[in-house]
Amino acid sequence: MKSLTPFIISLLISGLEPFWPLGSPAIAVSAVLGTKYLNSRGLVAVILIGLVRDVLLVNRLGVSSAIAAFAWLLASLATSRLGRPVMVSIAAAALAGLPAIALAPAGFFPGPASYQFILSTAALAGIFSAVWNFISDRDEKIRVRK
Amino acid sequence: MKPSSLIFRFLIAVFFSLTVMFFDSLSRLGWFRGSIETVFRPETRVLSFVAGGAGRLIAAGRYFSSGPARVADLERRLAAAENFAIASARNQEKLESSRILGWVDNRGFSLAPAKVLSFGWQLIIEIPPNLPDLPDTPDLIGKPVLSPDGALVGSIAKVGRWSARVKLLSDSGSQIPAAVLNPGKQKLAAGLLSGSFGAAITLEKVLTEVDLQPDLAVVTTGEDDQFPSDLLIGWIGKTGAKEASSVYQKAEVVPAVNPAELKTVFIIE
Repeated sequence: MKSLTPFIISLLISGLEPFWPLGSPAIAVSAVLGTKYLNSRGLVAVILIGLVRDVLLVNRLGVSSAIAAFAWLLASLATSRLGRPVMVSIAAAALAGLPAIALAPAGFFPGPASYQFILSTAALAGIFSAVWNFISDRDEKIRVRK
Repeated sequence: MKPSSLIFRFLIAVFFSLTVMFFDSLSRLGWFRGSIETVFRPETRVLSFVAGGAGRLIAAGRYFSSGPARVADLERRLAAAENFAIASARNQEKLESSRILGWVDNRGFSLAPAKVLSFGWQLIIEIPPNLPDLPDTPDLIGKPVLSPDGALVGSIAKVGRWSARVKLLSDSGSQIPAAVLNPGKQKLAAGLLSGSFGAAITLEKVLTEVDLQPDLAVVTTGEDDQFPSDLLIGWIGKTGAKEASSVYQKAEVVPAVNPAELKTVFIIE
């Protein structure tokens, strides 16, 4: 059950999608998962998060899964080479925000709005990643003491 | 893990996504949509409250960190306070009464109020759950959506179980027959309104012999059976340079509604 908790929390965060005024929590979470789960399990979770996003935004199913998988790929490639999960997840979320805006079915908003979308997604990814790292580091320390 | 195996997994995910898109385009995945919507409805209610609170906190932070701009803004607000109070009270009254009673326009069509869920980069509205006269949700597609002031926002593009996406006028796929009115509310010219790249709205196919001046009202003509006539769309903005040899001219349209500021919209039944 403990191993499922991060995925359940990720799905709930991506459920914020219709109500978050800027950026995309689902893409941010996908980038963070790319730094933590570099295996098929992480990719399946990311696809599911993308499908939830599509349903909640009344999109064509599958569009967001491809974008979320792109964010996961960028983050996992960079993590396997560089480490630094917080910085990597911020960069991956920002880069994956570009196709998200370009593929938006309702057109996209020029100038500040598109920058705001990317910046807000990247900031969310940074916050999620920092919180996740903080919690996992604390758990590891507790285990060492035992 | 090796980069090659990561890329291989990504390609499988893209293939899977394309397969899902194909089956969704054949409308075979309604059961999947339905089940996800059922699972997420109660959770998103809680999360929307959290997200709304976060949004208000960010707005308050921005306001207090603005410094001199805040003082100037305060002075401007004080100057406009009297008119604003009257206008907002009237708008609030209209909004509340239309939300409770269902607002019936003078021209005979009735309007169903719907709450705006989000305008991050798409306009998502909540479908009123127990509205007696609302048609079945699949019939909602293509229905016009108005702002509380009666201006046209767009039409419903896609419908879920409890939410729907609005196709805005600035969407590159939308084309609407429109008319330009002179200051005396007489029809001056007809044209075709279309969304263009960069969320702009353009009025095209207007004869060059017509003198388009900024601030003239643009309204629907009702020729396409989708939108009723005389709904306000916006006002003429910048006009393109006229060439002697061309038959038609173009003009930008300044929209009457900013979708980001909407809290409630009305669906024409």
